Order: sequence, then structure tokens, then C-alpha cells
Amino acid sequence: MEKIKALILMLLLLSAEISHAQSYGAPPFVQKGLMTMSTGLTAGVMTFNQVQDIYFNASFAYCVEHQIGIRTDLCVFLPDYNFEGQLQKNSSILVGPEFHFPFGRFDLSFLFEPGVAFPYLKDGVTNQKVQAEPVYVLTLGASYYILQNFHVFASAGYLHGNYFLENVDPFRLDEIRITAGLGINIFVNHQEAFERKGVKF
Amino acid sequence: MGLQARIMATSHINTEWYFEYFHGGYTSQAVRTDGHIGGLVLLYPQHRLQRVAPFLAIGPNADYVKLRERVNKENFVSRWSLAAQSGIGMHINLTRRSDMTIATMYMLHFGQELVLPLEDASVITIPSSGSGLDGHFVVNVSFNYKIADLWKRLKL
Repeated sequence: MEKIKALILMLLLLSAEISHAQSYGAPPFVQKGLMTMSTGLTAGVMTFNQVQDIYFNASFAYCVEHQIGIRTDLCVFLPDYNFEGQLQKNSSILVGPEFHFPFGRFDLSFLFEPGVAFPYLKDGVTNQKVQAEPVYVLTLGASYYILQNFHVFASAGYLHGNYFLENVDPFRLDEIRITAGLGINIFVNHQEAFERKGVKF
Repeated sequence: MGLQARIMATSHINTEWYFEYFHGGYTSQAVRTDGHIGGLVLLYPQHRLQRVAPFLAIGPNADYVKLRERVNKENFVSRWSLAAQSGIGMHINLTRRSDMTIATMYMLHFGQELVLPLEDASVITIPSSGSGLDGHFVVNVSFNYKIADLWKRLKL
């Protein structure tokens, strides 16, 4: 009985959500002032090495304009110490602009994020410290906003970078990264920046 | 990759303050790392800023260069020196307060030459000719957002 009640409740919530989403004339959910925080898991497939990686992803984004935002991503590498040939460390932090193409509660986005990766491969390296290597990522993402403060997202991107370890050829960090997760969002800073009195950040 | 901030002086003059980090292969036997920290003056010829705003840029910077052997991290030479760069670019104003900027500049390093001796008794030098000034092009693509009106609202 409890399961049926829960099921009915979920169906009611879902129907309300779908009917809300189908109001095509309504303005898109993604607007200036939208701040999002998301977490997810990233699967990485290296294109120049036969290696797959897993990352924990945390991101923060803020829409400074109607279709333009700033976003930062933290990718924490989850190593498999029994996997021969895989990097021991490869976490990265990225910051860049995000361009939104919203319709209704959906949002497609294009993201260009330069950043720094901190790779380390044990083989053949005398210095056991991680190195800071510049990298950049091009990402296409899709998000769906649920109720007023939640969203789910999925994205696919390509990361380019080189890790110059003690070898003639660098270890190529190039990787296809597929991420999925969920997050929370709120609207902040409703007043136009140039209409505020004095300097406010 | 890097970060920059701009402080606009007048509608014709802007200033840019930046930090850049480069890391890449230099010949088949060495890896070069560059760090630049400096400033630029941007001069806008247009009377009024428009969707596409071309500019001339010139400015000094302090730079750090490190050259290391590819197969041996411990074998490296480095230096701090002064440099200057100049070039042209354009802002593509996406909205009233945000823009994408593309610029191409040429940077000259005024420091002493760097000589990296290798195990096979050969050397790698910066500049590659072994003497004179070290110079290179810098192509920059950036995204910028005007976060505050510091003294008055400029007519953009």
C-alpha cells in the first residue's frame, strides 16, 4: 500500500512537471543570474593510450548574461592502482565561458575551459611530484531543470594536453570525457550590475 | 593558459594585466616552460566602441623561462628577465558587458641566452640561433566580462 501511495505521488509530481515543461510560450528557465552547483561522475577514454579513467566531477557555474555564463570544473581522478599503465594521478581544475541555448526547461550548452591538470605516472620518473600541465576542454552539455532548484545534466567533451615526463615523447592526456550527474540551482543578483549604486561585485 | 584583468581608462585607452603559463616541447630533446606576468595598453582607434572593436596593444612584462632535457628532469636551466610585446587584436562584443578577444602579438625577451648542455655533449640554446634576442608570436583568445563600473559609466 505504501509503495502504491509513493507511486501515485511520484506520478502526480511528474505530470505536474511535464505539464509545466510543455508551456512552450514560457521564457526559458536558464536566465541571467542563475547559479548552479553540480556533482557527477566522469568516464574518460584516452585517445592515444589504451586507458579508461574515472573522475569525480564538481562544478560551479553562474550566468552573467542571458546566454553566457562562467563555469569552473574540478575533476578528481579516482585511480585504479592495479591497472598497469594508468596514470597514478590526473586531477584537473578548469575555468571558462559557457554558452547556453535554452528552450523551456532544457538547456544545451557549449563550453570552452582552459585549465591545469596535475598528472603523475610512476614509470620512468625520478621526481615523484605531480606536474602542472596546461590543458583545455571543449564540451557539449545538456541539462534539464526540475522544479525550481534542481537539475540533471549530461555532457561529452574532448580534453587536450601533454604530460612531459622523462621520455622523448610526451604522455598524451587527450581524452574523451563523458559526464553525468545532478545539481542544485538558485537565482541570485536580480539587479542589473550597471544599475547598482557604487562598486559592487 | 592564463588570466587577465582590464581597467579601462578612457573610451580610447584600456589597460590589461595578465599572467600566462606555457609548457611544451622545444626541439626533440627539450621541454620549455614560460611564465609571463605583465601589463598592456590597448588603444582603440574607433570613436565609439562597436560590435567589433580593433585595437593596438603594447606593453612590458617579466618573464620566467625554464628549459629542461626531455629524458632528465633534473637537467635544466632557467632565468628571469624582462620582455615586451606588441601587436593587434579585436574585441568581439557579445553583449554590452561581455566580449571574446582575439589578439596576435610578438614578444621579445631581453634576458641572457640560455644554454642547456645535454649528455651527448651537444647543447640546446634559447634563442635557437645562440645569440641575439629571443622572440616569438603569442596568439591569445580570451573571454572577458565587465564586472564593475569603477568611476563612471562609460558609453559603450
